[in-house]
Amino acid sequence: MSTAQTSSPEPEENVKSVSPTMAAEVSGDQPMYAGRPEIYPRSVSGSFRTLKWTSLWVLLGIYHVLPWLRWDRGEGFPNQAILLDIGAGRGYIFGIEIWPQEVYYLTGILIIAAVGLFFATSLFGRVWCGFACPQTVWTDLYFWVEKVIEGDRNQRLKLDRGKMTLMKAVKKVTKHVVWLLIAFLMSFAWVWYFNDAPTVTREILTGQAGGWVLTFIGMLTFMTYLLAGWAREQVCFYMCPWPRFQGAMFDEDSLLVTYEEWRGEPRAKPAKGGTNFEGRGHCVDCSACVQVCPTGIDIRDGSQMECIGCALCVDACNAVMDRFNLPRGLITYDSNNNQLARSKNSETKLRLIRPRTIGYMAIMLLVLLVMVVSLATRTRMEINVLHDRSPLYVNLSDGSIRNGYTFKILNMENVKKDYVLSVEGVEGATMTVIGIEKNGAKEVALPVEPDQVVPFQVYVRAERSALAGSSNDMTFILKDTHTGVVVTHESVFRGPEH
Amino acid sequence: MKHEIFEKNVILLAIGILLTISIGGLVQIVPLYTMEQTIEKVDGIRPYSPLELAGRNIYIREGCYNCHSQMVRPFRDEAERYGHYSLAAESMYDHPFQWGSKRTGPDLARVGGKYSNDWHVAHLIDPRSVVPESIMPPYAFLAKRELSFDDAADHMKTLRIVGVPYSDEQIATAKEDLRIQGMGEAGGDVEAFLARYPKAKIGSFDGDAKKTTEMDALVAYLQMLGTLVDFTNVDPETLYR
Amino acid sequence: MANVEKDALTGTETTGHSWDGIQELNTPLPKWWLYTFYACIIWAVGYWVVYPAWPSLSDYTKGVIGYSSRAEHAKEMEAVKASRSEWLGKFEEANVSDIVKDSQLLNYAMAGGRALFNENCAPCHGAGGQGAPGFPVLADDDWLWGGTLESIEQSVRFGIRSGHEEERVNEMPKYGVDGLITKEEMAAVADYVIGGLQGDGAGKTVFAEQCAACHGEDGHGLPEMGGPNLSDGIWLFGAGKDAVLAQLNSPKHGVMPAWQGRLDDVSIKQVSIYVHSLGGGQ
Repeated sequence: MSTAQTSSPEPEENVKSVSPTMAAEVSGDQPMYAGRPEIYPRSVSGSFRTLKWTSLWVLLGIYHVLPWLRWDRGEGFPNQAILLDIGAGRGYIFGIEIWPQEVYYLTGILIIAAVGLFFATSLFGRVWCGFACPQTVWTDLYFWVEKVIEGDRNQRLKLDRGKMTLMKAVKKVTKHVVWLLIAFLMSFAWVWYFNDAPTVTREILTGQAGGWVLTFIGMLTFMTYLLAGWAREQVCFYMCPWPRFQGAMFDEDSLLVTYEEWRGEPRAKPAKGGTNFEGRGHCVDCSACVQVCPTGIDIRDGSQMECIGCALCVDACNAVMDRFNLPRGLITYDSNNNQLARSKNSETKLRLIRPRTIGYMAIMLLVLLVMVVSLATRTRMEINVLHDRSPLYVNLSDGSIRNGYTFKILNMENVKKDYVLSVEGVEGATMTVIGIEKNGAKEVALPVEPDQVVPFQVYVRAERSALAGSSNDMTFILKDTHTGVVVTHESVFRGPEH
Repeated sequence: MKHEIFEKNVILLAIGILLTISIGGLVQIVPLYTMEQTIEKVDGIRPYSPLELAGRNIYIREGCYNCHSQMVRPFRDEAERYGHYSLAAESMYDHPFQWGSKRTGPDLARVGGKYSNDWHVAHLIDPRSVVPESIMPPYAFLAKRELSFDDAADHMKTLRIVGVPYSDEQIATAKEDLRIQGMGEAGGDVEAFLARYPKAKIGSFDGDAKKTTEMDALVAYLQMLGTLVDFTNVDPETLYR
Repeated sequence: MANVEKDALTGTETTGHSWDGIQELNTPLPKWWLYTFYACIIWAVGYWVVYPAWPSLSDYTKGVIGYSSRAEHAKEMEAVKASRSEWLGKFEEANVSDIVKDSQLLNYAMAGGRALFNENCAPCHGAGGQGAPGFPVLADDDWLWGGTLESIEQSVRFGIRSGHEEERVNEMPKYGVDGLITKEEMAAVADYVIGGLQGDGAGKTVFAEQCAACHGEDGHGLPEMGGPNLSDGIWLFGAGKDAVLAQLNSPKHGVMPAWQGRLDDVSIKQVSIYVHSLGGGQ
């Protein structure tokens, strides 16, 4: 037991504060289940709060406005810039159209997102959790509503402890109604991404919307209200896997919200009117950092899983430090290495470029490059060929052999195409296509309407003498006459055994 | 914390687990044997003919079930690709059933009659010769191996023990039926055979009438899969579960 | 529970277990987990009421909404059918030769026709029209009664020797059984037919006198009378001299039912278009 603890400093005897979630009665027989202590974060102002507001409004703005952007795709196509049309099996992202068989682009986007998250985390710690995660954004918005209606921390504490009065009831009801409205708007916006936004809005407001739309709106409204209004930090503690393993992305140079223990301890309340900080730490034990924390933890206990890295405690502490004319940054958004350097009075430096960050960036850029190249070079036509199985081949009256094929052309472009089909591999083979070519030709023109999958019944006919055996390799060649792009498909031509 | 008793006593824990799982299992499994509606009442289901049975044994021997299921589920996409959803009745004489859940290849529950014999033979000999993108291994040897099914009657007797209603006549004529189905008239009385096994497909499946190979048996089996029930005569509402 | 150890940092009880200096804490679970668990139980009870759930030995509870996955499936298939019904009007109005000119209607007819064919025609003509001895191959270019869309539609509608008023019917005389020609003449004409209708022997004379009226002077067949083409390599009742002699002696005649009345008008058009496509579309 003693061997494992040589490197890490023993916690000081008197630093034994208990985090709120663990505050259940610690008697001899502790309960199996712990209740959730309500958290009443105090509002705060400062540079990180400003950053958080900026990020909140920008992200909410993007989320709610994006589906209203229009993008002209021509007659008969949706003009919504971003639209995932599940029913029609098409995804539109500005000028890019994705078909169901191209869903692997989604995989690429997810890989970029994941590596991007690792990258940001190794640079700035839990910047995602603190500033950009939807759970944080909506919870923050809910906190703000709560503050506007019920007042700041102390008023809310008083309100909740006090008896039920008419005023209290009005405030509570108003708060929940506003919360529900925000949740409703959130779910509304979600639906916009999957339907034409103006149309679906009109349908919802006039009560014509379909079952799926209403199901999603109901579900997402309820979940947003539940998660941002009631569950809050519980989502980060118990539902989200990310806090549990993101520690693996940190290193000594990652920027984290940390308390400078070497400077703050031993903490103590300041003597009356005292500005003398000789022989004691700079922490005045005002608990401002604890009061502003949206997850209700004490950052002075060190880095912990429950900290979402929002840095509001940094703002709170800096204000206190200013009042005592002490240098800012007792709680700071900085790396472990810099903290160590400051404690030794040596130089601090920001090391953003490290093997780890270079690695993450390289992976991200590589995937991005692959995506861009494959998007730029993808063919917007595809063919599927199915050789008829019954009959395998047909003897014609003149002794020649005919094979049937179900031939599907996917025209993924928004313009009508004139393709030309030919075959290679069987000497003198001619084709007939039902409804298009009756007499047999070496090349057949196949017109395909924009954005369509069109099946053709193709018959290929060849002389018996042209066949080497019962199974002959044959290739279908489809050429786009406008662009000259060629797509081929391997198939077979069956004949009798010789 | 009464469950500490369970947590600290392995035997008790084992008994507790056994009891819990047994209740779940019994409630789910036992009624299936006693409920009348487990197996739909439809006409046309009959035991496999000897040749089909031989084919089925080959199907199992070669592990076809590793890649092919025999269970069309009641969904639109499956109905449009494979046909009517499978009934419990259609596998009531399967021991063991071949439902499966792994579809590396397509479902085969209704493959019977869909493709020609020629196609099946060519496909089994060399899958790539008819479906270039196929990843199925070739089973060319089936066409060369003469079918040995001298113990057909014994197989049928065994199946009778587990509830397949083979009649004494069917068991007595097992060998003859095998010949008839593989050769047609040359093998014996076709009409009597069809009375014993209605809707059975007759003829040389692999195109070589001189001998009955394992290929014949397997194709005979494949060509009858899912063909026994005539769904035009079934009131769909009687199938609702 | 006396002597419970507590973790120094968090104040949480430990289980007393420790591995390599790492202690196992007995952290209480959040209460809402427990409530979620209760909520699931309540949900399950609600599920039992609403959906089929509990078996008895002979039956099971059906649930108040009477849900059945197969009924649900049937409903979905009905909805698919209904959504396609807008097409049916177009089929009722147009005749087959107009339908095939509209590529959308053609594709629709092909899909519908294939399904109808597999259900109604494949038992005799085989899947894909591959045919069987005695049952004509529909996938080749040899048509007994004509391979145009209109002729095929007529065959489907009224059948062959079906007993329908407008049936297609012909009959080949029983040359052997009824003694219309001699054995030698039969052998000669059989050789002539097998030999590709060439040469100038007795066979040619018999053919011109007896056969040409229905099979054509050159043996290429007369589809309007249902006289099969004897000059190609396609034989309905088997190739070879024995088969030809058997047919001369006592001819077999195929029968196909009239589908008018069995299939609706739209279905007949669709299946005719599909059959027409099987042969490559004459």
